[in-house]
Amino acid sequence: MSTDRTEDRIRLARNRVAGILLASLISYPVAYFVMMDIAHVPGGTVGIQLGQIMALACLPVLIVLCFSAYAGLLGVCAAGCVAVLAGLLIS
Amino acid sequence: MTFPAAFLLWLMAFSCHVRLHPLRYGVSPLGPHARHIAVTGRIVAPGVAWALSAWLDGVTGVLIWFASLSIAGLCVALCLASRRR
Amino acid sequence: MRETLRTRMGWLHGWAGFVAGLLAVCIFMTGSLSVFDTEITRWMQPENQVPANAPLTDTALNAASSLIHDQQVRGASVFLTLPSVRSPTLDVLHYDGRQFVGTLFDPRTGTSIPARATMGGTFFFSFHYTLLEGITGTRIVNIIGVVLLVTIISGIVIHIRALVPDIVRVRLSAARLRGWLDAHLLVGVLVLPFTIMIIYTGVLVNAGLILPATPLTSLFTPEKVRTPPTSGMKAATVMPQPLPPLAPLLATARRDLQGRDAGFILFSPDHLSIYASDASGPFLTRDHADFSLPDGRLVGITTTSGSVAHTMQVMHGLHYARFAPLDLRWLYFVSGLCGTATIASGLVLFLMKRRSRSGHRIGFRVGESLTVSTLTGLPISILAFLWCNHLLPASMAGRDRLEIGCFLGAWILCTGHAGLQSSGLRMNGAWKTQLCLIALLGGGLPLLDILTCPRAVYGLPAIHAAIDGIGMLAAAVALYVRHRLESDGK
Repeated sequence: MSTDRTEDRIRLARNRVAGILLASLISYPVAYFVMMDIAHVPGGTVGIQLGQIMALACLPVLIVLCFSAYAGLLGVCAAGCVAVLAGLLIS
Repeated sequence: MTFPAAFLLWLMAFSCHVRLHPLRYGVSPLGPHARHIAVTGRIVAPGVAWALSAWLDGVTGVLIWFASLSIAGLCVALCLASRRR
Repeated sequence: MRETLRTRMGWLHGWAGFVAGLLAVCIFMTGSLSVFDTEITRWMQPENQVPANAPLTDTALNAASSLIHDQQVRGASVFLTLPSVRSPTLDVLHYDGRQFVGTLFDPRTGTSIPARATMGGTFFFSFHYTLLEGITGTRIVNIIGVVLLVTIISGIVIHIRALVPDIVRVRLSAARLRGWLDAHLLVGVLVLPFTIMIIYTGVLVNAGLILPATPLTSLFTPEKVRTPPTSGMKAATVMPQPLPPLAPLLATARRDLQGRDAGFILFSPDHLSIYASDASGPFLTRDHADFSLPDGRLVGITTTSGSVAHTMQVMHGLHYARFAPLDLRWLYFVSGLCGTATIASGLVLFLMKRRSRSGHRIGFRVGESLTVSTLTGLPISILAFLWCNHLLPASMAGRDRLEIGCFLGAWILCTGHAGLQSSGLRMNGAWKTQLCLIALLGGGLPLLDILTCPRAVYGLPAIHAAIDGIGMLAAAVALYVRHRLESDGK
């Protein structure tokens, strides 16, 4: 019984570590693409500054959202796809 | 001047908050009329403090409003904790 | 075990908070001290006894001008910081690769002040955002900032239902774990707006280091060694022009920079730029007026406009707080200390919760010794740094390096001590000894100050009383915690 619980706990911990790594690996590029999309708006450094203000506000929220549940992960992935597509359209 | 005023208004707001949660904070419950006044005080006092701080000091005033929230809250909490002891 | 959103967020809050918290305590503690960096520098340079609001005379400006011209002829790139309420001296400075060093002038007489060599309060400022590791350190600090924001969001998710009702609830007489949790929640929730603001604006100050507007691959390419720009090469070979009287230029710059005071002046061989003071408002700008040399003719005014630029300026201004008057500066300091206390109580809670199950494990013991060396080792090394400043001879060569060596040495010793105690499972001993040392060093600070620099204490009583008072406060807190540890152990 206790061996089962220990194994359960180890599995859970592994799952969570993998989850946070995945969340970071997905959220960072999404925030980066959001920033680059905004930076492409004409206006020089102003666009970059605005992009950084927005992306840095989004980054921690994206990580938590991605880690919280499967639906959050899918949502962030979808947002990333939209950001990439928008970037392609702008450039 | 801004800080003492905002601090006192926040103290008032937190005191009203404590009286509105008698079980949680171990204080005597309020009657319906007093409860109504406490609810009003809890909403109005921070609003007045905000208006006063922003009007008197602009950005600095907003920072003072947040800082007075923290310090007034800590003071009320310490008062409650020492009273319980 | 059933996995819910709350348990998942609890795990994230605990582990992200612990891993980032060990460094975050150092960043918050030194950041809180940086609020008074100029005042700490004045405490650490007792030879500088110029009172606040000393009038700036033409004699002093001329003395500084001639030194600047001499240094320019020798090829040095110098700048002049003008007197302000916080720092009343006229400073001719240059960067020596580690810090800004130079000559301090009395603004009333123009005589140079033989102040002792020290990094002063700028050491804490530098440590706060670089961890003494340059760009790599700044990048680490930024990453810690993002992790802290993640920790805060996950903490809010866990505590959302009781966030407002429990806002002033603390049960110190309850069980130990409950008491610590209440204290963590109380301070954490009450200073939450300040904490979020200071972390977010702090990350934004060097946003380019973690979110560069270049292809992502540039993050992994090694940094190029900086070579001086060609104009700099030219600067070394071109003979610098003589400087005109600075007082009329300052008056012109003040008029053209919307009445803002001048903060500092940068010098080039053929022109000089007068920059608006950071203390002139919450917008931290680099607005400046350029004058040609040697005639001192106004060449142009550079100001930034636009809502995004102003937003960025106010973000920087809020973080640096250079515009803040003394009372707001104290509020920043207190809020910073509360932020430090939140993280510190979080670290202690993390260990307390795991002690019964994992207390015997080596990983736990390493974690606990690191916590001790952060929570008590850092204050000890800060106090050792201050003691070293007053005890070393004022004219000793390389004393500034020795002060830093003392800071790092004390910290290494504390870490070693905590490590040794943890290997013998005597962690209470490590806490108690180091808390005693804080009490000794902090409580002795006023005595040391009065004995070693009585004239400075008499000349600038407010600054000395404040810094000595902070030392005594640290001592009082250390003694109280030690007393609680002892009464819990009985």
